[in-house]
Amino acid sequence: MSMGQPTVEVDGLAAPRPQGALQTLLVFRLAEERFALPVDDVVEVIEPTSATPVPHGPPHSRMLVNVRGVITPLIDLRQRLRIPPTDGAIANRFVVLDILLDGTTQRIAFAADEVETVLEADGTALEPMPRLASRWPATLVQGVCRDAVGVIFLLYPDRLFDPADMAG
Amino acid sequence: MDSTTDNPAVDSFVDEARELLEALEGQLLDLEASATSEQLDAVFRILHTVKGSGAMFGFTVLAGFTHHFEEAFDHLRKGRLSVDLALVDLCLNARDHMIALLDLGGDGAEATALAGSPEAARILEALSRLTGNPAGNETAVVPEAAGTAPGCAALRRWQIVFRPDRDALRQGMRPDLLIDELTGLGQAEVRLDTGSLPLLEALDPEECHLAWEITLLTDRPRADIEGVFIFADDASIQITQADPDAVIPDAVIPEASTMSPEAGPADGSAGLADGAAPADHVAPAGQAAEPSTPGRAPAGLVRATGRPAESVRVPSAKLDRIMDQLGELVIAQARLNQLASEVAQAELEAVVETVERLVTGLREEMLSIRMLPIEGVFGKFRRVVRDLAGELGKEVDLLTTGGETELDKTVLDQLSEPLVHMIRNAMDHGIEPAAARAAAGKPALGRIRLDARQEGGEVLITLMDDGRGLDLEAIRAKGIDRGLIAPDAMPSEAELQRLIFTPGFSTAQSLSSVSGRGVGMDAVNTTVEALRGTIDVTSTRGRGTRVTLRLPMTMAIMDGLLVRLGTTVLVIPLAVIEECVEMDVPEAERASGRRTLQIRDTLVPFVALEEVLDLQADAAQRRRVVVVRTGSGRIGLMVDDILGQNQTVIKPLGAYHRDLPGLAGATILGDGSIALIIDVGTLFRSTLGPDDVPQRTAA
Repeated sequence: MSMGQPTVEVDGLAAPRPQGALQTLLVFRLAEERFALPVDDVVEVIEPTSATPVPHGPPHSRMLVNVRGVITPLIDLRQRLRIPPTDGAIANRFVVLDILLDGTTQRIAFAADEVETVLEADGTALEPMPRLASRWPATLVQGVCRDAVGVIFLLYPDRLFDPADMAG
Repeated sequence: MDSTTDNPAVDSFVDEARELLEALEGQLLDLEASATSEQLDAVFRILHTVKGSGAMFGFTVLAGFTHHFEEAFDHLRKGRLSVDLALVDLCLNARDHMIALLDLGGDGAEATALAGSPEAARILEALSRLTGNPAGNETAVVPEAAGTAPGCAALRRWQIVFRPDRDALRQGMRPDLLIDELTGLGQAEVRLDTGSLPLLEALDPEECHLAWEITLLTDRPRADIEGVFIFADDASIQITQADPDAVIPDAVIPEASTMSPEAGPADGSAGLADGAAPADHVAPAGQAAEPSTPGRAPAGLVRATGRPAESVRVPSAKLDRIMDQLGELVIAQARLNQLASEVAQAELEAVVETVERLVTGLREEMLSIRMLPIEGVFGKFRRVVRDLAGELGKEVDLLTTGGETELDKTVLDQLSEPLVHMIRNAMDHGIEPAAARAAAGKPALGRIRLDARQEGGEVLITLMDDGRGLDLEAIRAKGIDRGLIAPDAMPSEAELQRLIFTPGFSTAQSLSSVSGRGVGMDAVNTTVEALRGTIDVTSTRGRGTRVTLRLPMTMAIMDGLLVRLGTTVLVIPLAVIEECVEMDVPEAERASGRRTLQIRDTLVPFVALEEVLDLQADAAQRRRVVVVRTGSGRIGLMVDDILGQNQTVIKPLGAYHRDLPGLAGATILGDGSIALIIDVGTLFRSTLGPDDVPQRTAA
């Protein structure tokens, strides 16, 4: 069921996974900020497709999308990260991930303004999040890393997509 | 059942034993009506199998208990006892005890404790009373042994070569117990063949390199010998009857069962001498190992035992996965059809048609695999009725019809509990005590009838009793008491009858152990709604009550009606829909305070579905209303448009949306878009209290 959903090539997505403390990250943009998630969980990056509203759906997942025949909840990362929804930015990409929930794999997707790149980050170079400077819920951010462009906030995927954490 | 071990062989034993014991219940109940020797033999075989394989797979407590049961039953089988009510009671209790032991998952402190319980002691004592005073002289009794081939009652000599497969020990096989059981069938000579043992340095102690050669003298039929090896699927087993002509008269030899079960070679020989069997009829151990020479054993008797490959056991999770894939296939097929019609190319269309035909066939085949006759569930109710009748001191007869009607396994699995509730209710509240029945001019014997039949894609299950019927006045009083209806309201009979499905509603004056806790009918309603079914109750005072369940045949695929609200498409299960009507919105607005719709001579309340679901609608002037049946009566759902009917593959909603009220799942439509499936039952439970769903009958 791939109609209208070409996989978007992201630089370096096919790169082999490095060993050691290095972590491969998918870097994406939301409201001019740069975030990253471990690339391991990412299944693919697709162009946005039409979404179906879920009546009385929780604020963090009000929509469903059809990703190649799988009914996939669209998680609202802006809501999760408390980014105001009305900054005029349009989602250019859906990032599709497989996460483990209660022992079963659940496919989810989220909208990103843009997916920038895949980069390798040295785990030891990860800086802790400056507590007071945190604009995002501190529990969701693993730390901060930097590349030539600037600062990237590395998120905890487990907590970010945990339904219990979302409800609480 | 959920306590699976990590040993597949043990799991397979537990599964099979459970099935056998479930069948046993029905067979024991059958004995009450008639006890032919075939029936008795069938029961005996089950006990024998469970005993033998139980011992093999580490259920020795179960095997030990079953041994006593089997022994007592053997007396029955041989005609020394007759079947009566008390005996069936005892057998049923013994069978329950076996299930309890099986549930404990093998030997252990719990099993020992259970085996030592007063209940177990009581059963064992009763069983031993049966065996303790058998009528007549043992050797004089010629077993009737119907169901076994003529002549089988006489002693025959069998040569058995048993070579377990290498992995047998790892899989938990206990050859020692098996051999014990085999020697228990009669007099045996056992020889161990160590010929295949490798050298010590090459020996893996967990592998089995041994074989046994057994010469068995027994009056049991071949099936009993094969029964010993029933779980030794992978072993190589040869069973050969030696000297078919040399039948040893039964009277000469003491009965096999009186022999010591530990009959080793020495004991066996001694036994033979005691029994004055001609010595040359038992081959010496060395000879026994040899294959029978031609002429002595008919050709074709040598074969590996094991189940005939008529059916395959498949974990139901596997079927579920195939069903999922098939669901995807049906969706992809719908998409393919749509694309092909856009392309409009003859050759492509021909292929698409073929694929569609194949997919349809595959789906029907797959659905039929999941279908099981409802009989399996009905069987359990006979026991419920029997036990309950005793407890309540009422005479009740249960008549079941339509047991062959098939239902999806998922539906069937969840159906048994609500039906038990219904039967309990009928027996406790419905059927009157004998005196009251006599006063009402009814026969003392109360009748409950359980009927199943298929109607379109649905299965109708009806439970009828000839009891006192629903006491509408009591229900009304209770309803007012509970604040469910206004004191001055004039609810219709149907409305009052529906009140029994309200949570916590019970009119029973006193609580009995049977019912009256007010959870029954509410629980039934909840389960039935979860199965996307509906429930209806009608009752005539003094004449009886009839409860009808309508259930979809399958849960995986359903017929749905596609409706539109703005740009959103939703699916309403066809099974709950009564009719669809058109209406002009001004009429709705006129009725704004109390939104009701006149359909023929009834007023049906309705809601704007977009308001209930918080969705955007066109809200055009002319709209449609889909009238559905719910647990609390009929209600109309107003939508923008009705798009048509479709076969829907139901996909459950994931962890983020699982508990949302009003949604049964989602499906993917032919154009690739997602449509949510409305669950009418929970839709109104969440948005409206019972007071908000009024149903008035126009005067």
